[in-house]
Amino acid sequence: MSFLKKIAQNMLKKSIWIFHVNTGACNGCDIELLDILTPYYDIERFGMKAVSSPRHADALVISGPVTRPTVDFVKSVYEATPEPKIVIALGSCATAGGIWFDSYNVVGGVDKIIPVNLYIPGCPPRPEAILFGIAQAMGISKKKIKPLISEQIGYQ
Amino acid sequence: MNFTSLFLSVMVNIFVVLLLSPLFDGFTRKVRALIQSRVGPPPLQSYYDILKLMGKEDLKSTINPLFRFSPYLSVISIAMASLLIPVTGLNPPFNFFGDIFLFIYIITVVGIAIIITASASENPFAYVGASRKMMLHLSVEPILAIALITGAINAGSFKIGDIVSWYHLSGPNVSMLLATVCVFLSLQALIGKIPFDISEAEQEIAEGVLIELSGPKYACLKWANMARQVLFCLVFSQIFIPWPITDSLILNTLIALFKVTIIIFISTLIESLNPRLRIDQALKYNLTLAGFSLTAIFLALLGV
Repeated sequence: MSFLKKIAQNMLKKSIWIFHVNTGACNGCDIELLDILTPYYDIERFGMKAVSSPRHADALVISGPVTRPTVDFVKSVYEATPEPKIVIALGSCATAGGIWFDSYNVVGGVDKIIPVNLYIPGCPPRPEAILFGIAQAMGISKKKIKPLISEQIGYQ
Repeated sequence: MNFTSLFLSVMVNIFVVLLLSPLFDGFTRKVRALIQSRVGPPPLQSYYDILKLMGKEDLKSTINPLFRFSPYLSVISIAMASLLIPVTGLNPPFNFFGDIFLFIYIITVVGIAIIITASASENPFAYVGASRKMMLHLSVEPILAIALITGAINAGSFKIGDIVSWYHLSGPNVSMLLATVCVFLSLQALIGKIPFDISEAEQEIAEGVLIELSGPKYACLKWANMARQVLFCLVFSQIFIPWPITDSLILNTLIALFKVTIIIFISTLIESLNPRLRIDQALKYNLTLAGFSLTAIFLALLGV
């Protein structure tokens, strides 16, 4: 049984289905996300595709600062996604609230509501940046940022 | 048919219909990607998808027991129906047990299983998809039934093996040609591809009948859909175009696979170059075709 589970987990890397959630974004990130489905970027060559129900999805791509009316929906969409799942925060607003960080109607970044696995900052992020972020999540390309080690923060 | 060849042809049929169908689906996706000038997914992508879905969590969105069992029913009935199709020669492996009526019953069970799942899943999109699928099934299954009955009248037997043997021996006549054309024109609706994928319409009703399914159940219904496509292509290529057939089991299987690949290629071309029909347009098309195919029965009764 565990052998079959292992196969299924290995296959997860080769076919990640994304469900797009808009929590009050200005549509900039949404259009850039649609760009990666076009023939020029063609994300289907990694086995990814956009699905229309959170029950089919492996990755939730959330764009926009989480506005107060959408908090419950974000929670229920997270519950409706079957395990194992990852959450990707797309754009500056979803990462930390963006320019609306102290607005009265905005809760803040997505990580204040549900746990986030991957941040793709940018306003809006370029399609190349989205592809790079997703490739990092899948392990295709290596992380370019040095891991936070003692010499960076001053210790010897 | 002795026991060894029966066992072999059972294995070959189940292998072709159930295990090779994701490969054909991968072929479809690759062809569609090339038409849209994309690179497309790797050819084994559909296997990855099914295996991945098998390992996902199975969310119980409703407590209805029908919702729990009917996805598995669809895969089982596809496997049963595949045993009534001749792949390795002129006779299907279970020729002795079943005739065209049993075949039509089992094929209908696949659609019914999907409709039951959708109706039990308590989602408005699924209800819309289920009612559309029911209308589509009621309008398209008669065409296949009428075409098979035309063959039965011509051959003087209800067994699929006898129909294929008669057709292979005596060659086409007017009524069988008419039936073949009708089945070919309804093939896109039988396998549920784009001009007729009204019940699953992804952009419109968010995959309608499949919307509440997750994990293994979704994998089973996806697999059943892929296997259904291969099965109906086999029905068309093995019953209505049973040439050429040799004495060798392996050669016959390879010829069948080659014919199925060509038919799937043609249907993918139709799929990627056409828009989706509305349900009333699809019903009109299917009912016209059914009325047209009725003439095949009269011609067969006249003996031409």
